Amino acid sequence: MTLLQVKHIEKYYGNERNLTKALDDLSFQVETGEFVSIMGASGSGKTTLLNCISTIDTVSAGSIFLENDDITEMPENNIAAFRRNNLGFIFQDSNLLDTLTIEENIALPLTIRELPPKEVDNRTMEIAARLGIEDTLSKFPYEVSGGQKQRCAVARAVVANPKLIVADEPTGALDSKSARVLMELLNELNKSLGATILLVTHDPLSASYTGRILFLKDGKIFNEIVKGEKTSLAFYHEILDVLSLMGGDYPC
Amino acid sequence: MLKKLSIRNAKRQAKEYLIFFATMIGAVALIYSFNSLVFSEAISSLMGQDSDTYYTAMMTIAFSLIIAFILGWFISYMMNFVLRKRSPELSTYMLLGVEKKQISKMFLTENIVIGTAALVIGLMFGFLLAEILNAMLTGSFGGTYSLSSGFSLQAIGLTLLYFIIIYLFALIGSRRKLNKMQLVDLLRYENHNETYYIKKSWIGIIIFCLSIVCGAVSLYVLLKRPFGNPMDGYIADIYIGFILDLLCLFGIFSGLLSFLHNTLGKSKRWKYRKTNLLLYRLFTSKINNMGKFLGGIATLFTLAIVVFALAIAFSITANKSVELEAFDFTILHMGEEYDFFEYSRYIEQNSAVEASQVYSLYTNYDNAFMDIRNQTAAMYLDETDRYLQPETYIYKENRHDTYMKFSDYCALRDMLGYEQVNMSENEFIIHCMPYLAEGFEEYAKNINGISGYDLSFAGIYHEVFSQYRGYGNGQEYIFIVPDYIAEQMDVLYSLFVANAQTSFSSRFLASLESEFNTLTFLDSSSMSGAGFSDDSGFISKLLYDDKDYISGKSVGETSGQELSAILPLFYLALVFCMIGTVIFSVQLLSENKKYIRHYNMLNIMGLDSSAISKITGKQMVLYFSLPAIPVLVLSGGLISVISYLVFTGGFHVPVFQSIASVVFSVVVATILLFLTVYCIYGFVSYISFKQDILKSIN
Repeated sequence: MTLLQVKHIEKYYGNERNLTKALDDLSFQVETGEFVSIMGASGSGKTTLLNCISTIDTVSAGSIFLENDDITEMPENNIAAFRRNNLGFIFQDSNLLDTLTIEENIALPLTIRELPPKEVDNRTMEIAARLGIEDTLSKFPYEVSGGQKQRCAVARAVVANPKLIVADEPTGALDSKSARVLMELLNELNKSLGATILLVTHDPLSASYTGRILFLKDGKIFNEIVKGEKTSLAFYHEILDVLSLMGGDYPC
Repeated sequence: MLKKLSIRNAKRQAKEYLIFFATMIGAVALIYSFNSLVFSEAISSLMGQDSDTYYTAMMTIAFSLIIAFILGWFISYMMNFVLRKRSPELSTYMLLGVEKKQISKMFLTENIVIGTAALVIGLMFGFLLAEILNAMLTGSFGGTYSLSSGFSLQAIGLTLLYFIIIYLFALIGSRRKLNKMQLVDLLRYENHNETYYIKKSWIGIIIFCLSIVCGAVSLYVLLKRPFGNPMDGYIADIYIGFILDLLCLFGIFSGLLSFLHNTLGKSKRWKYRKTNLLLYRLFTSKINNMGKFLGGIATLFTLAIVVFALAIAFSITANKSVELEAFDFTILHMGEEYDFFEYSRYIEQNSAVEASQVYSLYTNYDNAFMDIRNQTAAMYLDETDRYLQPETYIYKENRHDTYMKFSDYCALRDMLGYEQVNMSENEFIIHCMPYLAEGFEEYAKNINGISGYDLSFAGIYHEVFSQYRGYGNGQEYIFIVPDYIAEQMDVLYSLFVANAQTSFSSRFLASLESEFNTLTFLDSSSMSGAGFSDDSGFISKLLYDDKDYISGKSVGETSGQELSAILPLFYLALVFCMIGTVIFSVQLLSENKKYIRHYNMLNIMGLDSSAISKITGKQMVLYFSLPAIPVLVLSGGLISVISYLVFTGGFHVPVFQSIASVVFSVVVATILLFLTVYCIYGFVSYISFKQDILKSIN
């Protein structure tokens, strides 16, 4: 079943004299339970695309449907509620609230939804156990490592069972080992919980954990590859091939 | 180029730190207005005596110096705060190769521009404020207000002097700080992370509990006064209470975090309900960051409240003293019937007299009612823990029962607009202060006559009748008898009383005194010590046998001393309150960036702007309640005891219906006054805070 449909979206910045086209007639769709990544060089429009999908930014033209709701037509007043009920976010620098403990950070989306305290606690503990971060629960973000912070951010993103998890460079600030652990975790969540994840990255290794990759260049989809039955290593090499075709600042 | 940058920065800074700029303007306005008031003609004539004016001037200057010191600290705090906030900008200048010296010069130029602007605007506001205060004070003490002609040069001079000293002090401090700063410190400042520090739980909880105990003991000590001696004004109790208050305030804020952490923080049922988690953490992180600073701010607020209370209590005492005088103007002539013709002619020609009356008081040297009066007064003094002998507060001339003719009484009642009364030829009336009415009535009903005359009791009245502090219509009571009976007694003294259409101006009173060398002002600035004592043991205020004595509402004889204390006290309290609140507000606004990040994240997670707006409102209420609640509770005790002492010490007989209710009114008025200033700043901070947050999420 199609969860997300992006139809001919365009996004412009600046004024008439100096117009920048960040997204140029872009269309694609994501099925429920899919793990999709978007790759592209800096300035290719991948974060803009993610912001438009997650209603943080608006499109200049086109439509984005989440299930049957066109989020580009959604009234201003409903947008926060839409995010609350449908989306989970993972950011590059975790964006945990530093005055809340890890446990409270995870519980936060549930308290915002005003769920009963008992349920908030049960679900927080459940997700913490699943992600193996029970022993850090009482700590504050500044007391744990970057990798643990990102695990907490993942827990916060999935705890409310959102329809779509959007992740913006979640491994960007991590060392390679922590990055690998985090991608394995996301992969596991995708498989065991059936969570639909849309991930923006420019790290080929992180992207190789996902099922499908959309390559963006100058605001357009340049290429699309699917992992299918391939091994991660094979897929990784395929990604590198596409990137070398695209040119730009990618590691080999 | 740098000069241009400085001026532009000064403009931007004034806009950014509006609250700081506004407070500087307010401080200049206050310094100017109070200094101007002290040197104003209206106030000095209102005081009547040169010694009072001198006293007030000295008090205000002393208070201004204290304020200058506090303001100096405040401005230097704010400058350092601005310096820290602008560290990224300053580091950029340094990276671009601008020398520290030049940056320091730029900072100096900016602050001079801001300071001068605050000074000029502050002086203008100060002029307005001085006029308002002038009108209020002259109005409340029975004088006439007229718009002053312009700025007071003396006040401008003093204000400039204070301001320059304050500013130089602050500038030197921040310049030194700036010179010490290293580029690496400036660059690191922005990345400074908040660390959460919770003291070992049990220590924090013990500190918190002990501070609550200190607060409770302080309230007990202040309200019950178990240690102090009434003779020294319960100074031991006040000191002990105040020290316990301070311990409580510092302790509460040190231990509150642990206490909350171990109570609310551990209750998931409470924490995970609705927005409790967010509010709880916003609140505790603020306590965590501010720690001891909160204790200091709370102490400043407590001082502000106590000083406000003192000013209000003195003001009530001064007003009550004036209120107890029934007539605007009185001349007393001792020992014989007197027509006051020369005086009255001059007075009628030179002032707008509405009504006047000449009459005499009589005595038979008996003390039947004086004894009851002394017993009643002694009971009151006993209740208020004071041990005074009647000799120390009753004047020689008023130590016997005093009588008045019924015809004079009727004329005086008419003059004062009181309801007329009836009395037959074999009756008498008592007019006394309210506190004596019950005892006198009971006694009068059971006697067959007074002073050897067969008269029956016709009634008792207790409207204001110039009976307090002697030399008026008796020592708190007088008998009204048929004229023919009074004529058989000795004349105690004669009085000329007059009421004016507005009031008698101080200039007129001075001219009257200089016109007649037989006239002098009755000095009743204090109850004892200002007169001389003779063989009877009683004191007298009538120092010269050949003089007549002026007193009354318009003379402001009772207000001079209190006024000299009220003005500087209000001045000091306002400055304490304003500075404390501004620093407290700035502490919050300084973390705007952190809160913006915080609320932005919440918005992304689905909290809409109306919910965020509600949370910011609650956050503000919690933040501003943090020091206010303990301060208000604890200072309640201090205010009560201080105002109680002012009221009982200010009057030797009960002039208020109930001291407890007057003390309560002082507590309420003080709290309202403090909260008004506090809430104004709180509201301004809230609006600015909310706008910043909502702007960032929209």
